[in-house]
Amino acid sequence: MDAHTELEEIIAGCQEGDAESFSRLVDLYSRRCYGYFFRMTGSRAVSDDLLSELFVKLVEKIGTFKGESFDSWLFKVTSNVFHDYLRRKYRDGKVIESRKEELEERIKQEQRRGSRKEDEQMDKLQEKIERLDGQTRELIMLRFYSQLSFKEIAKMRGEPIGTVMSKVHRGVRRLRELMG
Amino acid sequence: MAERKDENLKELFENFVGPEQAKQAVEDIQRVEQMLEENPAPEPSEELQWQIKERICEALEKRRKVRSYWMPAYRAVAVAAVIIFVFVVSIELFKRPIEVSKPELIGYVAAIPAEVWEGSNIIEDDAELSVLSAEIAQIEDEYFTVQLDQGYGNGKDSLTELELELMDIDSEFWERIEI
Repeated sequence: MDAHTELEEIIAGCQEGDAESFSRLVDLYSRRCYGYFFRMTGSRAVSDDLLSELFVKLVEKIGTFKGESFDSWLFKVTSNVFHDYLRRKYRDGKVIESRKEELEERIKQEQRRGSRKEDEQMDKLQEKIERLDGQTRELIMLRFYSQLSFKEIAKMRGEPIGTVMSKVHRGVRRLRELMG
Repeated sequence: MAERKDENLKELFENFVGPEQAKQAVEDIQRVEQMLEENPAPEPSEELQWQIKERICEALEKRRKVRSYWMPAYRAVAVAAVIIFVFVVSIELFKRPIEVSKPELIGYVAAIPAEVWEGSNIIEDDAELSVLSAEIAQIEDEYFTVQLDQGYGNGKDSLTELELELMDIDSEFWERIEI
């Protein structure tokens, strides 16, 4: 069975409310979605919450999937979950507080990881990623973690493909400059 | 995702910038993607994945319960709604007087006078017919006279005279009818 047929089977199972199919969906997509959340928030704790929220939301939303590109659909929901989180954070007026929590979390992670060189570089990359503006960062991460084409990303976000490509290019150039 | 494999980044960028800039853009994107691959984001822990699966099972169970609890209620509500709708519509229909569009009144005038229909002798009732029948009787007389005259050699003139008279009567008759 090829990957596409297998995915179709999993989605059909999920739409019928089959727990086993959802379990396979988690195995297939949790890493990529988690990576996206982590790169957008820089926090493992928040990424944990958002990943749980995403899959629980999928239980309700899977019926609305009408058979287009599943990855595109899934990452649209993933992006919506992230934006809902941002809205909640701003609405609750806890921006500074949560930023503090994120920094504390990062310090803890650093302590856990010790002084391994790769980890240092990973943190350096995350730090530089966070210096990009939100929109550009999101486009670069969507492109990397969703594995979608520029055309699909443009369609998903309702923006002209030229705008998306230009933003991504500006972002990656800036990131290269920051990384030295 | 399938589209991504067929995507030619250089060609895409060349639609917006020159070939040199397009080449640079592709290089930048590939370099950053390489950096992201070399420095992967942390993965969700096994424990988190199990927790998510458990939460999914709970959500599915909850959804099933809600459905089984509310489904009969939804059905009953739907049936009640249909009954109420039909009831209201029927009441509205019965309340309103049925307006049947009435045709415009058309007046009929008899072409033949009532006396003619009611009377037993048409010729007596209709003055014009009386005149006509009198004329016909006269012609009949004349016709017999002509027939009798034929033996004495004067018949041809009388016949011509009769024909002229007949033509007169005929035209006079149609003039009356047109009036």
